[in-house]
Amino acid sequence: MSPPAPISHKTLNISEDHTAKLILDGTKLGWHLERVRAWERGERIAPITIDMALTRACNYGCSFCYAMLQENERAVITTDVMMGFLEDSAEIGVRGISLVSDGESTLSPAFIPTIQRGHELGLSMACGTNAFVFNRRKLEEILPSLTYLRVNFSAGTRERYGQIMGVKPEWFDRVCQNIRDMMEIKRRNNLPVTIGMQMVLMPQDADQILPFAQLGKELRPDYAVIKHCSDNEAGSLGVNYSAYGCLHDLLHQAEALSDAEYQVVVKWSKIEAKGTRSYQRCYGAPFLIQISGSGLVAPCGMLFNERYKKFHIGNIVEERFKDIWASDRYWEVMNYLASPKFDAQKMCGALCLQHKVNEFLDDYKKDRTDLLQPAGPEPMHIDFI
Amino acid sequence: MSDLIHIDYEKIAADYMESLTTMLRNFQSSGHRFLETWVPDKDDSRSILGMIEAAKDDEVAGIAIHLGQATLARIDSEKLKQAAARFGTLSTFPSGDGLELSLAFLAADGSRIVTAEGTGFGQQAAAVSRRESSAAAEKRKESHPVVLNKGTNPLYSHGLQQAAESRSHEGSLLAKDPLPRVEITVEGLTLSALVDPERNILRKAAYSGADSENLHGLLETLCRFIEGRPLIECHDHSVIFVEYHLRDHSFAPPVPGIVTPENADPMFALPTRLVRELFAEYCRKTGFNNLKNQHDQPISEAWKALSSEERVERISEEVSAHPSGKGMLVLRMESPKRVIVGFAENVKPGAKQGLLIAVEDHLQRTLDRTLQLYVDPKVDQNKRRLREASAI
Repeated sequence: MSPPAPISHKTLNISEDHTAKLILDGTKLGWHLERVRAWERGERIAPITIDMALTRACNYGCSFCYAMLQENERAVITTDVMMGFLEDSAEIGVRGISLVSDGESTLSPAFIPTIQRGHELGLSMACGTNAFVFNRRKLEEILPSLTYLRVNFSAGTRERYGQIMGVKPEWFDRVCQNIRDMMEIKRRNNLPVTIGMQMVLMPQDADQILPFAQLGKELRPDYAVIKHCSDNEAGSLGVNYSAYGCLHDLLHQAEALSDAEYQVVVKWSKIEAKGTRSYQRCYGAPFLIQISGSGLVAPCGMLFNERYKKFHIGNIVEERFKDIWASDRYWEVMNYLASPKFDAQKMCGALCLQHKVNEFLDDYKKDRTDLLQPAGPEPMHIDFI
Repeated sequence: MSDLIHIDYEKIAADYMESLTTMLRNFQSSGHRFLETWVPDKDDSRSILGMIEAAKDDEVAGIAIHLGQATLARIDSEKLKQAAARFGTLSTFPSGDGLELSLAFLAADGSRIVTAEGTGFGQQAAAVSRRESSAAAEKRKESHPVVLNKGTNPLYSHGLQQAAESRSHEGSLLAKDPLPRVEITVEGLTLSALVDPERNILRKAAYSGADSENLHGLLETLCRFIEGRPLIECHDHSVIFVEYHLRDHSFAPPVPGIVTPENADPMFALPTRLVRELFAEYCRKTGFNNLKNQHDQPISEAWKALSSEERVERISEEVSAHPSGKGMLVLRMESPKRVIVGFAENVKPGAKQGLLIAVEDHLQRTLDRTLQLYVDPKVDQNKRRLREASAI
């Protein structure tokens, strides 16, 4: 009898659609093998991607907001702090910085200078936002410096937008106009920036799946993505992962609205994972760390809350990032996550940002996949793994 | 004990640091030859152990180190004593405002002392069923003291030496046992296991073919770890545990970045091959192919036997006795594994992370290795969600 699947090797399985230009439901770690090899040798590697926020504040009140579970000691990230942080990041070898998690970064006075300075330093810069405070002037300033801009937009109709995202319904109109402006500026200046819309789907908001996909078709961003909602280990947001199973038909219908220039993407792998993890060690954090809008450096956004203080490495408001990164404290925490002391199945919330990277590295450590240079063309946004 | 070299640790360390800026050439630490090779560490425990190590390497008879209050406030003295005892015969006693740590490296007859103070495996070692009687083990140890191979990585030498003293898993498993037996041989080493086919749990393990103390230590440790665990867990994580348990955590880790068995030491390649091939053989024999691993490390029987109040009491005692536990308050247990603590107001926020890690490590070593420390969470301020929750 031939050996069964567990010990057989297979080629790199980082994404089923790795030949596609955009990888939205996988990891691009395979295109950073040099850093994976350095990690494997036990070197102190710089993160490839840092996901962060410039503030913990937000002008929206989304019911599914994970950031509300991430409260920690507040501090103000000033423009000066960010300038130092960006220089440190570029110096140690960080490739991309996304201003996505934990707060609405566009509310910070440091937002535009951060995007522009990061780009000048050679870092790929990206942003996830509700896009409410943008106007044409601001968009003209930032779009040339961005790799991608993703608008969080978890509904397809005016009234439900207000309900789900906790704002006045008329804000829907302003954000729609901002998306039209983004696309017009992008086309006019032939900018390489990718504009996306993202729906965080709670099963009870399934009535908005098709309206969202149709709205995207009208506004014409480059893509519209529908993803699961993450929950913490206590299930505080009450996400019913088994209920996603009933939405497959609707999600397939939404995908069918894609055309040559507009792509509707469902993050199937995470939806089908039903909030579970196949791995217990967290190897992904050294490649992809997160920084709270309070300046707190932690391996992961799910560990931002004061409850997880033992994983809190430092704060960029108080200490230079390159010093934090080089500290024994940083590597003590990262090693904790890779050690027998840690079990991601029992000690983390569901489906974190590092999930796909963790899956890939864990499979590799268990001899279930090889490290091979991926075939096919290099995907877009390669610095955001 | 008159042959002991007496050292005032704080003075020596302070002189050393001063000399770094006042000396240009012929830099050396004052007084004793062994100090010529000693370099202080910012971690006082490592610094002191380095001093002991340097003294032993220089073949002095013994060393008595005075530790002042300032040093004692920064270290876990119990952990230091455990680690120091690996180098020789340890005695400690109060000295002035501090503590004197005395290590004798020579026995009464003048021979070098080979030590193997027990730490590391803790409850797990105690739970292993011994095939070799303690009298037989003592007899064997007397006639064949454990001497590790030359070139053994010092980070693992104590763990290997300690593990190799017992040969409770050497041999083969009896064919008459009703459980199915799985056996593989790699590079002349055989690993055998009896597996409960209902739950795919490895019940008993044995090895044979080891021709060095290092291999005995390594395979004893592996066998102890894999017994009682699901086979998929043995495949996935056993060598991570073996590496972690054999490592001497008093010193810096084997690599500056993320430690894995593969980059820690080449010796871990062999147990990895053994467990993975054992798993493959089991799959071949039985058709088993479930790769899902949801194994949750259970608490020990001793910890399970305690009431919730008793657990809080035991934890509180350990926390208050530990230097990093000063200013830490045990609030409650969220589960038998999860301890919620708070801090006194005078504890600096930046210090809390290190204190939590140190105390958690202490609790895992002294009470139960599954214990985890958390701080009281900051609460959700989302008014809409709170309103909706209260309406349900």
